[in-house]
Amino acid sequence: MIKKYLRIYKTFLANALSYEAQYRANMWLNIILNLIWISMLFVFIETFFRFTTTLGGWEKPEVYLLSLLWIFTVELAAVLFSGIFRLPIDVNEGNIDLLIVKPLNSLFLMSLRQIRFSSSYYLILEVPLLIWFVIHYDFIHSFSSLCLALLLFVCGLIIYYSVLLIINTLGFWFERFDNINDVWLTLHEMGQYPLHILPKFFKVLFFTFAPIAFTAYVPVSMLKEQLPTHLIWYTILFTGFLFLCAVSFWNFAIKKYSSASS
Amino acid sequence: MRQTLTILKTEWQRQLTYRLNFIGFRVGNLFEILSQLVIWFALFRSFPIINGYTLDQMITYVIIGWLFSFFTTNFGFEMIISKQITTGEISNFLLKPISYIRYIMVLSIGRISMALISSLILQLGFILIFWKYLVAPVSLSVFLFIIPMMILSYFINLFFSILMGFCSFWTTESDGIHYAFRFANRFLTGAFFPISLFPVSILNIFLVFPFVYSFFVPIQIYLGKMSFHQAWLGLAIQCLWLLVLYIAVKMMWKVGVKKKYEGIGM
Repeated sequence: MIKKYLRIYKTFLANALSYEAQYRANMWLNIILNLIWISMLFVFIETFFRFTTTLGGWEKPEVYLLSLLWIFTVELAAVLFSGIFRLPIDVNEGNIDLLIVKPLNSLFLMSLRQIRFSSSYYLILEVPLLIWFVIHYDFIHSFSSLCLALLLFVCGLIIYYSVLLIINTLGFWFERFDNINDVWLTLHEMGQYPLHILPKFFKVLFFTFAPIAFTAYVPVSMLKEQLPTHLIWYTILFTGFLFLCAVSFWNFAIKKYSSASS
Repeated sequence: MRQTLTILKTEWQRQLTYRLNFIGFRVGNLFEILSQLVIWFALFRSFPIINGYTLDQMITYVIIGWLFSFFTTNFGFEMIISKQITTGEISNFLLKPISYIRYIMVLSIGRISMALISSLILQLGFILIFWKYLVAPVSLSVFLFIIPMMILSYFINLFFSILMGFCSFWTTESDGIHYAFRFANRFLTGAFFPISLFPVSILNIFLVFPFVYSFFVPIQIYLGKMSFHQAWLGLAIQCLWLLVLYIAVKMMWKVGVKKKYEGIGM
């Protein structure tokens, strides 16, 4: 079973690679763009820190790490789950029929069918930078804190996926709902700043109904200072709960779906 | 005139058909503005003045600046043009008794007019909430500069979008170009933060480009941080850019249609 899915994923990978190879000009442009984006991030943070030494109690290297990890997670999700962004359009145009009639798990097919290599260039550029930041600024207090931070990072990625799945699944009920991704992504951008600067209302919101705190803030807080045990457990339980909700919602939507065009 | 009205009416109907999608854009803007406000409030907690800006001026910069930028944006028009080229839809316009560039310009006015209404409502909400922080314009005469600057910026942005869209005559996958353009545009306008936070030499380079005149410069004039002499100079730079871009659009269209377009899908 797993072998079958791995084989299919390999085919997706090969397709994505051949697609990318077709548009080499676009590929180079993406690499340059990613370089510019990283430079802009540096300019942005450096400009702010010309006027202050801390942002909400966070020092410059910590803000750098937070922003870098946030971008890393978003880009990694873009590489892995790009297909999910197309869901509302596919539902609207009736293309989803082609996915659900195939003898495969429809959620697997919908989420992982499209691998966006253009986002992976960013990861290649950013991984060394992230590692350098973590080592140079001595963020690793102990092996266990590093393992926990990695675990929390995975939780953040699953939460990010779950939210995307839930909001895009709403496309089964609302016509032309593709903008919802822009709304989520813009809100999610607030996750690249230390949440300490926010009023209490937003802090609560970002740990519950709009869970953007888990993408980077929680893992980096783990590296910055030991997180309280209850927050670690909350993150793990919340991840499980949200993922379960997202999958159940997807299954419910598929059951209720009546084709648009066929 | 009848042609123009028909294009406008069709675009308004299209936008109103997908109201939720339309509202989605505005909610996205709301978070964007909110996140900037939150950061500035946090920074001003430690400093009463940052690079010559008081908290009130900075809040005005964000809220009124975004209002100005809504007047000049065309909401990703390059994507529409690009799609019409790659799908071969543009062939219809080659046969119709209407110039494609004129059609695009009218369509863009239809798009922005609807978007503008919702943006104004959104921005009105911000103005009401942050009323006590907002700074009044130094004098009403500033609008004599700001309004023409907005109009020129709108057409400059539109021509840039058309040029970006026309890139699809040469490459069918142009997402990277569009994204780069949007990001650079947003950065260079001063929408992320006032570009006067940069050293003067860099600021002077930015002033040669047309982007700053849709956000940064108008709000500087509004706040009285830029003289009328500089405003005149800005208008002259904008006129020059508009002319250059108009010629570029015409040329790119000519070359694109005649030498590169193959009418895919037709």
